[in-house]
Amino acid sequence: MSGNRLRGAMGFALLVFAVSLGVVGGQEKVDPSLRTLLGAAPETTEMTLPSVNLGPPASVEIREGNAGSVPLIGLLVKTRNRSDAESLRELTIRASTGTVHSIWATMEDLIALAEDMDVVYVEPSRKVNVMVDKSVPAIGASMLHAIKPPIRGAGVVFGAVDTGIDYAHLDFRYDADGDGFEESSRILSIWDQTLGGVAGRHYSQQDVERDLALGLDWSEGLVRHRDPEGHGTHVAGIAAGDGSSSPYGLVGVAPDAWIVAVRTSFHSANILSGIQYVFDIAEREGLPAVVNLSLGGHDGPHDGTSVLEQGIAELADAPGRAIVVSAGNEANKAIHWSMPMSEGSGEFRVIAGDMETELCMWYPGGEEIELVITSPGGDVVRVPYASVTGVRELEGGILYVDHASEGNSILNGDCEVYLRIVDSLEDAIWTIDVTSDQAETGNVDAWIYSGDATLDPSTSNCTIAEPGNARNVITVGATITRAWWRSLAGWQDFRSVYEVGCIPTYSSMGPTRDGRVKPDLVAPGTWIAAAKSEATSLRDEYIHPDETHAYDSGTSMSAAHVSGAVALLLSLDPLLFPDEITELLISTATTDPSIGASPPAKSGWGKLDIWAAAREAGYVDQGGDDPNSALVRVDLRDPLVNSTAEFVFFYPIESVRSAILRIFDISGRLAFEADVGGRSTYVWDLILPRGEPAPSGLYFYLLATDRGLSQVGRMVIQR
Amino acid sequence: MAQPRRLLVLTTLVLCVLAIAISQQVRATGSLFELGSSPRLQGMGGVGLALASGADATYYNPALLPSVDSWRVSSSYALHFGGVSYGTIGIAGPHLGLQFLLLDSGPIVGMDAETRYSTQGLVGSLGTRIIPGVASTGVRLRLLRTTAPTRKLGWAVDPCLSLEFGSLRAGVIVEGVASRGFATRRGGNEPWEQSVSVGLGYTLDLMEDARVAVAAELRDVFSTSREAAIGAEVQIDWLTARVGVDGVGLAVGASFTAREMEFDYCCVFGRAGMGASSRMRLGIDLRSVFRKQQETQD
Repeated sequence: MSGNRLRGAMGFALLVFAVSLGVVGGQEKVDPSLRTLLGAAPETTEMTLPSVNLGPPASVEIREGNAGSVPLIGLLVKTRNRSDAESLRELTIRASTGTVHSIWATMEDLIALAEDMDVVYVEPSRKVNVMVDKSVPAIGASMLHAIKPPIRGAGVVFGAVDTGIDYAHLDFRYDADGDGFEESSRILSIWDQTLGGVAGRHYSQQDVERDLALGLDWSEGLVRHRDPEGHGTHVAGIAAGDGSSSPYGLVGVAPDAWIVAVRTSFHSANILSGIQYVFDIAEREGLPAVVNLSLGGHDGPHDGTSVLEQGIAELADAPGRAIVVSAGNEANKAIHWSMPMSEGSGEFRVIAGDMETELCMWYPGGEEIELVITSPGGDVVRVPYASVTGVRELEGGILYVDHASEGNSILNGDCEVYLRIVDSLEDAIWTIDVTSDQAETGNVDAWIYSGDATLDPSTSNCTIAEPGNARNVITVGATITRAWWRSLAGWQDFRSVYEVGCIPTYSSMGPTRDGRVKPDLVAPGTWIAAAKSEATSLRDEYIHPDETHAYDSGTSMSAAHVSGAVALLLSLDPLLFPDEITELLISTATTDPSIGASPPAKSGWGKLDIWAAAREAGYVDQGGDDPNSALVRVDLRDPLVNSTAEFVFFYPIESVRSAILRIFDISGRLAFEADVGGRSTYVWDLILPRGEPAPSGLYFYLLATDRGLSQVGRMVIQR
Repeated sequence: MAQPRRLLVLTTLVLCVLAIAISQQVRATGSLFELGSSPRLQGMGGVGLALASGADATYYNPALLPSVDSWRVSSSYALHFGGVSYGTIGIAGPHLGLQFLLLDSGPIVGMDAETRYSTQGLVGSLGTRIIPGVASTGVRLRLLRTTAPTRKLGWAVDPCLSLEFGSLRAGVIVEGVASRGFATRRGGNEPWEQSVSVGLGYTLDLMEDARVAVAAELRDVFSTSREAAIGAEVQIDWLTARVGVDGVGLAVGASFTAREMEFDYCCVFGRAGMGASSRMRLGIDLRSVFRKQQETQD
């Protein structure tokens, strides 16, 4: 049965079941999108039973039950305290963070949960989106790799809840017996939630190593897991790849870290289960762990109070644990509208895409707004506070709106509007007029969170994707570290689009809806070269010349850099608390002119500098004797140049008073020098001091600082 | 007849010098040839224009080839500044010299990409006396080929002159009088460097087996990037020690002579953090070898 037909049939079954039950109590504890399944409306409004079969929202996780019986809904349940609620006792808990539980439930279970006094709130397990070198040195990680003893993330678990991992990739293997062959795997465990029904399939390190030893791939061996999307492999490569598959030195941030990979279905309950799985494995091994979540969506209050975010915050609240979340790539996607309550009225348009649209609106509790929605065909629906429209067939599409029908949200006391548009023509315009009571503070915020609709007008502020607004997590935006690269298809040049050092337009902006600074910091995210999954098919333009790495962009990549950096910190101190880690990272984050123009909402506290963080915490010698001279490094992105040469520097910027880049001709004569103090990159236009172009040939270069000299590098100018 | 020919040669050389002097100075293709070929002379700061002898004259000043009195072969090797292999092999005799140079960088790995630089040079030189015991002239043909990262070929012709006044010698070389540079990616041509260099050398025999030589050069005299170099060596019997300085840095060297064989070593200490680079060479005087064979046959 195809996914759509299955969903439609289940939806119909759920609705018939719900209607037969009549009005259900405790609906205020149930997310508005789930209330459509319960098929009831509060007494304060005219009850409108669904006149058409909408089916469950596309974003909600639903599975067929055992033997094709009653369909199951994925739920996240927040309880009053850590002991299970009565209604949960009969259910199978997929994961529990303490007061947040991930479960599968029937409609009957959902009704029981809604009526259970110990249940605070029930949220659907919603679909979120996956988010899509130079960079490792740029964050100071190479300096930690270079000191003696090197700090490379040994003894730390890096967990990725993502699209999976190419477990056979050499970047995740190591040579344990010293025979020159990387027969061992750094992957401690794989959980593929998409295989084998509700429970998924688990593979151990031994399973992986057995298949590697026998030369069996995913179709033949024990491990049936693969990563067709390649995203999880790329993220893991950035954070914990050792670059051994390539001669290009594409080493990840924490190349000695252990890895736990979860291939998730990207539903919020599964994500929570995945995080807990990583921490469980780490606890079994007695190791600290950092979990990377390069994913997110926009359903939620954007203030850290969604059940998923509360669960994540609980999971991270322990020493030796950290969770890093990508900020999101929606700053330029026109998915957010905001209006100060004090303005009294405003209007925005929803420009429908070719998919079903779900939108959430939030505004401060204690205030009231009224919505007037005009369909593309001109039908007008008035939606006052504490009302629900029911399912309305309008000229231009089907509309369902729940405007705080059960009162203010139990999660945060604010008011939520849930709006769903189905069967609208692509590019059709729905107009939403908002009238507020002109409260002095607070905003009305609206986010598209399902479908490909856009808002007009829109704002980039407050576009941090959930769960990036959660407390106890480190939320990461992107910077640009590469705008051109060599690929299998030749040079790719995006310098007209991306300016190295700056923040890309896609990187989601803060603050959170409750005014906290997010993202916490920014890290390299644009066109990062990292491990490429064998199972993914990419255009040659995105494949590195070594064919084992690929280029990808997004705050996902930024989060992976920070996850790797956190692994380095945890390898230095396995008992660091999440807030200590966050404080270390943000207090040592750097700012420079290239992000100075960015508002704090975009850059957070600055660019990640893990070297500075390690020094700040006293893990690395603060003095100048040891081993800084070995830490002065200069590299070229491409040693073959014809018009410009782009140098990347690695040295303790904050403690170096002078840094001179020197370039020598083949005989060793000084041909060019430039003061590069305080800079991490420099582009030489290949013009000599006397104004002539440097002739073709071999050149040497080095970086001279007052803390030491770099190794001599070589480059070739080919006119 | 000889007098007009000498005048013609000298006039041609002077005109070449003037042409280079008034032309715009451009940097050029032949970077391999800036490395020099002789560990002996590189140990003196590369001051070979007035001081080159034997096989070194092929490279440094072919006008000195007429004073070479036997055929010699030599081969040198250097791990240039720790990362580039550079070797030469050559043969030279009276009036004629040939030298082959080979440089290979090995893989040069960048953060995102990798390359290699591999180039070969051939130097063919001729020298003749204009005024015996006073002046001689010569011409040097340089062929340069790169095979990595791309294949390119170029050549240059360099006339030169040597003047002798007892123990004092002067040398002049005019580089790139005629040349063909490398084709560029944009369809242009990257010319060879045109330059004029002059040098003075003085040799003083202290006793039967002891000798002192000093030399100085001014390179690229008409350019803003002109450079001075100075060097000296002391030979006592089979051992020679030398020192010199030029734009690359301070150089020291030594030679050991044993019968028909000579071993040269030099070390150049680069400036501004470049580190040191060592070279060594083995040379064999073929006349001594042939004479030995002849004596054996007799």
